[in-house]
Amino acid sequence: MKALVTVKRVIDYNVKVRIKPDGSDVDLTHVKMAMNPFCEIAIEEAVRLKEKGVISEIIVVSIGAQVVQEQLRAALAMGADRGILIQTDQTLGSFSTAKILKTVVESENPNLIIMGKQSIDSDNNQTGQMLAALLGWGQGTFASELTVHADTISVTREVDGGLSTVELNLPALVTVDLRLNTPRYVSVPNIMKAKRKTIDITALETLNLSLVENNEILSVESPPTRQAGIQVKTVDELLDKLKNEAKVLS
Amino acid sequence: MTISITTEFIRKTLYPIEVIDTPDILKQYAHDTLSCYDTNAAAILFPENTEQVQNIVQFAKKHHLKLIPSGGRTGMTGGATAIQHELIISMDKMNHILSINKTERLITCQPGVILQTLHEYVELHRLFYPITLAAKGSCQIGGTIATNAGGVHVVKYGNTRQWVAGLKIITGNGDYLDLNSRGLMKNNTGYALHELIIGSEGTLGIITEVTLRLTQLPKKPMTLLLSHDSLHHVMTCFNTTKQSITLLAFEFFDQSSLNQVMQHQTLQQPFQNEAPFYTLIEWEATPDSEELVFQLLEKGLSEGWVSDGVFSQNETQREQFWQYREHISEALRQDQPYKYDLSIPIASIPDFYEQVMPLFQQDSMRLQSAWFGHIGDGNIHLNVFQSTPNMQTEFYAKCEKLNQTLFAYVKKYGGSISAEHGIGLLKKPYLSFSRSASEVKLMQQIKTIFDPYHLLNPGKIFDMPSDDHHQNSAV
Ligand SMILES: Cc1cc2nc3c(=O)[nH]c(=O)nc-3n(C[C@H](O)[C@H](O)[C@H](O)COP(=O)(O)OP(=O)(O)OC[C@H]3O[C@@H](n4cnc5c(N)ncnc54)[C@H](O)[C@@H]3O)c2cc1C
Repeated sequence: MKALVTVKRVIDYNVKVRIKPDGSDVDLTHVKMAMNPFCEIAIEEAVRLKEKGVISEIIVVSIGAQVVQEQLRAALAMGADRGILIQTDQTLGSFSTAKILKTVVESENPNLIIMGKQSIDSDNNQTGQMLAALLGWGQGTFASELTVHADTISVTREVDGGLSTVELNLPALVTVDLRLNTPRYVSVPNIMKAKRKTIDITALETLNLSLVENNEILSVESPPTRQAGIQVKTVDELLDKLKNEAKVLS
Repeated sequence: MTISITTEFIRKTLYPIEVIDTPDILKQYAHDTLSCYDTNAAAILFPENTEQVQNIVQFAKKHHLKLIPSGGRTGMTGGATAIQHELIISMDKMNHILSINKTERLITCQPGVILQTLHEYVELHRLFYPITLAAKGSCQIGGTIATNAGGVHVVKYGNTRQWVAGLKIITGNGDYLDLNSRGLMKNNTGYALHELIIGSEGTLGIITEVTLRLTQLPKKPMTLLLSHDSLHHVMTCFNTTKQSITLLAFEFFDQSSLNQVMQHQTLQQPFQNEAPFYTLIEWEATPDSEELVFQLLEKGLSEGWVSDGVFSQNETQREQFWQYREHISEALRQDQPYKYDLSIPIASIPDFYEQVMPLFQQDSMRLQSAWFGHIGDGNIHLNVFQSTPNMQTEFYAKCEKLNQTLFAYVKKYGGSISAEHGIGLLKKPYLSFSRSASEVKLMQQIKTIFDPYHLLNPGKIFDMPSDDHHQNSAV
């Protein structure tokens, strides 16, 4: 069984985001970038399925500039077998991304696609759903558990009211949630091995897709700053502040 | 002669300085991280500026009272601990950042500013204060200066001493001194007195204002966790990496330390196979540094001085790597360990380890140990503990017996009995292993010049020959 996993390069989850002075976008100069955490979980799951003998090959794909190869290499070091980069400097919305991925799926014919439920930069949570729809495949979103059978896959999903389990015919698409697994550390010997794995690079233009962006960022603003907390010395002082300043007690 | 001074009298005389003597708060302020002393502070004073500190010292001088300057109380040697009914001067309210000078890269603040608060403030100005330690969320700038704190980036940036440009202090005589507080880079006009205050553990003067040097933010750090099968291999790794890259940190810990952390934290095992030693290596990323490091690691793996390694992919993992190292002290706390903070010339560390380990393992001792620390600057935090903590008094007696042999080894290898935590009360009996009698005498004379009535932090670092330890006390 062949699995296709997608990864996206995003601003590091733990980095404090700064806005460009003109408010046009998030400032990415000199900012640490990393693999989207949900994509990391997707890779980890694929590698675990491969270690169990369920999957025989993991192909990892990303769309973006030349530097995105860093994230593809990281995925290869975690255990993916080969990489595909659709190279472009364009900023793409979810629908364009789904259309591009569709062409990759058509040439690679995987039985299973594993994606992050969303990327932490735009937080859209729609690329996986759009791709499944374009392919006409079943989809299991927000997965917290996966079990692959001969022709089907059962996906436990985290939904508002609790958990819901769906059974999908293969080929199928799964988007993963936070609690599915904890991604492994990337080991030094595996990083070295990954340097010898291949990444195929295709320029986006050569795919001849008509991509129309229907979203435009008008402006970006920081949330209002919070006042720093203070430390009180006694219970009485706390009660006094709760009563007279916060006015939550009477 | 014992004079009793009531808190009410102190409060009235020193108004508007806040004075607290509620028993539970007194108890909390009367010690640092060491809990092995019978503490008994008289009251806690919370001055808000230099003038108020001066008033306190003059008051203490007049009424023959003893004072303890107190910071974040994260000290490891009882430096801020009250055992003689002293008045505690807490810097908690002197916590304002006063100015930042971006051209000269200087920041001026009160001593009670929390280290992490200062970090966050200077980073907003795209500058960097490089002293950082696991206690950064609680320790104060004044405390780090009074102990000349080191921390995790000493390999690149040195100790606190390198970053203090100037100070304002109130001496034990109640005098106000401005010691290059304008932070002049060049000022060769006799003795650099502020240097004496750095590392003086509150025994010469009370720091009331601080001017620190800042530097540019480091490039993005890259972080590795490696495992090794011997300390000799750790040393090879250190020597090799140091030659090729700008190290920001080179820390180590042993399997025993890791076991402790894994019992207390929900962290994943860093490696499939255990190893006797681990190193955490951080360096400044440059365009070719990653490639260079991987060439070294390839060599290390094939020559055997690296057994395995993981490479941090993002800030979350980087923080996790640091947790294996920084949570050791916390994880050990419940075992009430006996803590050493040794400085050993780097090349001698493996030999020292081989000499000292058998001391704990011998039949009469049967002690467990955890070895960790800033090995890149020769600093080992050796913690000794019992497998089942009981009979704490007996255990401490055992350790104190061991000290004579252990510190003799430290001396033999040309090391120091305290690398960065200072002497305080805990290491006072052993000062002679690192300082000669003439040196101690000279330090006592210097103390008498700054603090003629010996009222500042009595009994810390060394005893004063003329002191009657049960003098006047406030009640
Ligand atoms: C988890 C943990 C990790 C640590 N890691 C490190 C480390 O890596 N490197 C390191 O060097 N230390 C380390 N320490 C020890 C400790 O944090 C440092 O010694 C720190 O510098 C103490 O600062 P403080 O404000 O807590 O001082 P306190 O403990 O309150 O006082 C320490 C000494 O300074 C004196 N003092 C405090 N304020 C003043 C002032 N304004 N004027 C004059 N004297 C004053 C006190 O009298 C006392 O002698 C660690 C401690 C903990 C708990």
